[in-house]
Amino acid sequence: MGQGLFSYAWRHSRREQLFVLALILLSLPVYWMSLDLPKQIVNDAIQGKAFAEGVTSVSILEIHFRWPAFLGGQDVRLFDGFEVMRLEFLLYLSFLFLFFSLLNGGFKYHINIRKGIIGERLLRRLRFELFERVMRFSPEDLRATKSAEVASMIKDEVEPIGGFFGDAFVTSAFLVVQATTALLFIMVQNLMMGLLAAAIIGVQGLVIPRLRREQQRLGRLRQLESRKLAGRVSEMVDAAPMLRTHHAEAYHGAEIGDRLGLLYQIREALYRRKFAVKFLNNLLAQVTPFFFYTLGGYLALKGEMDIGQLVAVIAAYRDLPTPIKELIDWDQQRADATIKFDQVQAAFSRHLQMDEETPHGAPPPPPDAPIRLSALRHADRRGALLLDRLTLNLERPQHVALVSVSGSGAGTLAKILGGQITEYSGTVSVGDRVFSGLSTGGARIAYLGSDPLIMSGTIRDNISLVAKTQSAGPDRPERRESVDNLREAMLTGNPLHRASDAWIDYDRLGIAGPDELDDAIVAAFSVVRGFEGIYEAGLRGPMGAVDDASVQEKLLDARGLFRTRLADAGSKALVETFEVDRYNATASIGENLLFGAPIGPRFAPENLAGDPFLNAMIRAEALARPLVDIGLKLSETVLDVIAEGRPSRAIADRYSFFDFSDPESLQRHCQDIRKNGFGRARSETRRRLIEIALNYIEPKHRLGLIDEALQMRVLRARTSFRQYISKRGYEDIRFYDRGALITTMSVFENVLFGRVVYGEPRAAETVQQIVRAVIEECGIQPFVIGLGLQREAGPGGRLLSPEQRATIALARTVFARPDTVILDQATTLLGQQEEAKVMAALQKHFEGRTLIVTCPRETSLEGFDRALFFDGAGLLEDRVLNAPKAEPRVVAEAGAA
Amino acid sequence: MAIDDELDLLQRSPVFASVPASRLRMLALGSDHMVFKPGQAIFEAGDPSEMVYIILSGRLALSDWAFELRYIVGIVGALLHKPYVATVRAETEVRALRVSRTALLDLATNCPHTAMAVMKELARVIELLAMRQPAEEAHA
Repeated sequence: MGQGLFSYAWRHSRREQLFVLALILLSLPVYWMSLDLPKQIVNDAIQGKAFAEGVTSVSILEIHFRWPAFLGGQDVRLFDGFEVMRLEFLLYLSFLFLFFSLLNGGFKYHINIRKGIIGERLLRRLRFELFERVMRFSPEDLRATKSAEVASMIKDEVEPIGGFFGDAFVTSAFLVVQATTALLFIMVQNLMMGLLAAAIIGVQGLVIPRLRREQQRLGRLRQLESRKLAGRVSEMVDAAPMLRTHHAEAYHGAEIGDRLGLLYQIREALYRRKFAVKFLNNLLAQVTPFFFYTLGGYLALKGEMDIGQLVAVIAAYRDLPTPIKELIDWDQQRADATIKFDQVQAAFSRHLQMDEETPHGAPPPPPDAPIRLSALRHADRRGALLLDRLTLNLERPQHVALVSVSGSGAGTLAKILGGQITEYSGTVSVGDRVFSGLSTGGARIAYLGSDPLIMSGTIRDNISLVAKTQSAGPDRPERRESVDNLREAMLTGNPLHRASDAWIDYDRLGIAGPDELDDAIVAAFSVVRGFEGIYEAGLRGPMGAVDDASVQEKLLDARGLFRTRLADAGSKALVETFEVDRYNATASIGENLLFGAPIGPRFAPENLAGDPFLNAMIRAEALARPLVDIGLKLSETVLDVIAEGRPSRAIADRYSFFDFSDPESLQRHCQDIRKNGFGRARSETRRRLIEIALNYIEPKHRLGLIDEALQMRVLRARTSFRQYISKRGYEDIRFYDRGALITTMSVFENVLFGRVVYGEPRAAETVQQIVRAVIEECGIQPFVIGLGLQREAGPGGRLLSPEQRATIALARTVFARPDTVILDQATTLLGQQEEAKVMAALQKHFEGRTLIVTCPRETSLEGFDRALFFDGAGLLEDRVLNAPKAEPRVVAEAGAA
Repeated sequence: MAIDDELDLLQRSPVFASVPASRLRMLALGSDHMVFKPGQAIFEAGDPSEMVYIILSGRLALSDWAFELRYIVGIVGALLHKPYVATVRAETEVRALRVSRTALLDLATNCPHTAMAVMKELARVIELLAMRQPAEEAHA
């Protein structure tokens, strides 16, 4: 990059452009013929010029040429052709015309395709180059960059540039040649008409671009403003919760309104210009035929021009405005695209680029090479001094605390060491290598700041990405498709490796292969006390389909074993198992009816009461009236609660199937049923009350609404439901079956196959312990952990809590196995108690390696070898806490500590 | 046991007798009915005090102390928001309503009768302590 649009296009698509230009030249004679033939048709065939003076036949398709005069001037006839009559001659010429028109179309088709390909290839190259550049911005510039603006530039703004790349040379050449040919053709027919056409074209070509200049200025303005709009909108969307808290929506809404207003004004001015220019253009185009008809007609009448010529001239002129207009359009596109190209270039090259990384193949400095700082000084871009002339040696391996008494010295040093600040004076070197730009001299230093950067994808993806530094080649054998892809990537300067290649560097992780990957990730999580989180997520999240038959078997074994272990522990009463012939008091009435897990929305709790089939079953067992009664009692209880004031959390949780904000409709239903009785109440009322009743769980709500008779009826309805459900309905539900897994439920629920009872002290803990013990015993722990790692993080990790994000970022750092770890407030999100525990664990794990941690003043310095106290920008004290280890230990991965 | 029976029991206890039935009902609606076997711990010293237990029936024993807790347990921890200081066990079968700390405090703030009931219970414990173990600090 760093050059104009045309030179960029020429540099990267020279060969293709030349090829298309050659095609254009080839098409010229054809174009000429398609212009010339109508004249012949009119003159020779229709008006019969060729047949004048008694000639009755002409020869066609004869092939002859005449030697130039200096070679004798002889006429050489290679083929005499056919003699044809007038009508045949007309047909012959007409078909010839058709042929050349088709040929001309064919040329156009090919030229357009080629153009499109040139444009798209250059676009792909440009986009990738821009992306690559952003990746190499200095950290300071990255922080100052609005991601939405960059994304909008890479995605939208370069799009028209891409379209223009194909047109840059080809279209202009094509149009110029076409217009010149047409003009030349007209001139050959009649010089005066030709000059007239040329004059009008001249006016078009000179005046209109001038008028369009203002149009371009407006267009540029519009682009800048809409880019700003995109940036602000994305910023406000990100900050929306804060804006809402402080009721600042109105102010920010007004700002967006202003911006939209400005965009509208620009757009309106733009339209006025555009259509004025268009009007002028059309006028000129319409005026010309007027001249042609009058002047041409006059000349024809006077006999200075024949009718054939006139027809041909008019036909040629009809062809003329199009290339001219397109040429003017092209010129405008050129101006637009050039401006956009320059702007995008400016936006992407304003930032200082990073130095290249240490050349490949050079071994990293040894892990015990000390880091030397000399005269290190850093001021931010506004000139505030953040770190002042620091000179010291950091021996490795060593655990160093950078304690901040006040100010930012500690954080600044951590960021410089971690390559997060590059605009400093003085030098940092490791061994004999000097830090420059992003490069940390090849040393394996991992910096982790306070913002855990999590990307969309699974937790596993988020951790394993650190091992994906180099592609080991395609994962699957070469296929035709991949060869094509490779060729295209080569033509456009894109990476030759694909994301689907095998990327993970198992050697670097110290493991044998993919089978051990999850173990390594879990080991990393264990170090930072994140194991529980992963395990719980795997245990409680939806299980999904289990492909591995042996895992299926083990899960079913675990279900059986769980019952045994529960009984062994004397806690059989803690779980009420699903039994097809027993009412499960711990489950709701609706669950007891279904006795299965809904798969789609049809039998989801909120749709249950509306389902006609289920309703039929309820009516058949005369359950409707008792259920309505239960619903009524529940509703009245809730209305009582609402009447007492705002319901407490405890009550709202237990009655979460009620909408507490709408007591009126509830009241209406209750009145309806009390006034009209079950029989005459509206069906909507009955449906709603049944829906409520289906959520009732006796031991949870304790209103004493379920008796044995009702249980029997529910069981009978359950039986008929299972019996009569149609084949299609069967796809909406998985019935509980001791011998089958239910994929929509969690592993925990699958093993439990029942419900934990209410009112038993510590029931949940005990059951949880036994489930986990059973899972371990059955060897499905890896499967559960795999499920936990499979969990989606969401864009920016938004599906996770801040603590989870921090834990994942820490685990990622551990997983990467760096020589030196720099933690710059990386654990603060965990909360004080947890932070201390995680820090102790990290110190233990990184024993024998270097750990540099920023701490607030009050933190315990236990476990650190050395503490640097910073006051403001300066070093206050350098305290050795433990004598540095004389014999640096071999850096060996301890795995899960 | 249904909530109506629980309310009957509560209304007969000296602590809650003066609390309006509708308020007691709210308390019960947001509670869990727990059954402790003899010897089982209601809670152990050091557990976070998120829950308060309103005793419906049965006898309790406080570790190390020889006085009886009768109506509300866990209230000190709940008021001070500190972990439980002592372990409380069921001596006989104990039935209790388990109420979250916040639910009880909410109720006490909105209903002076409940606040009074809590104060009465605390006063009763202090009286017991004053009579039996004048040297020791109050724990409950």
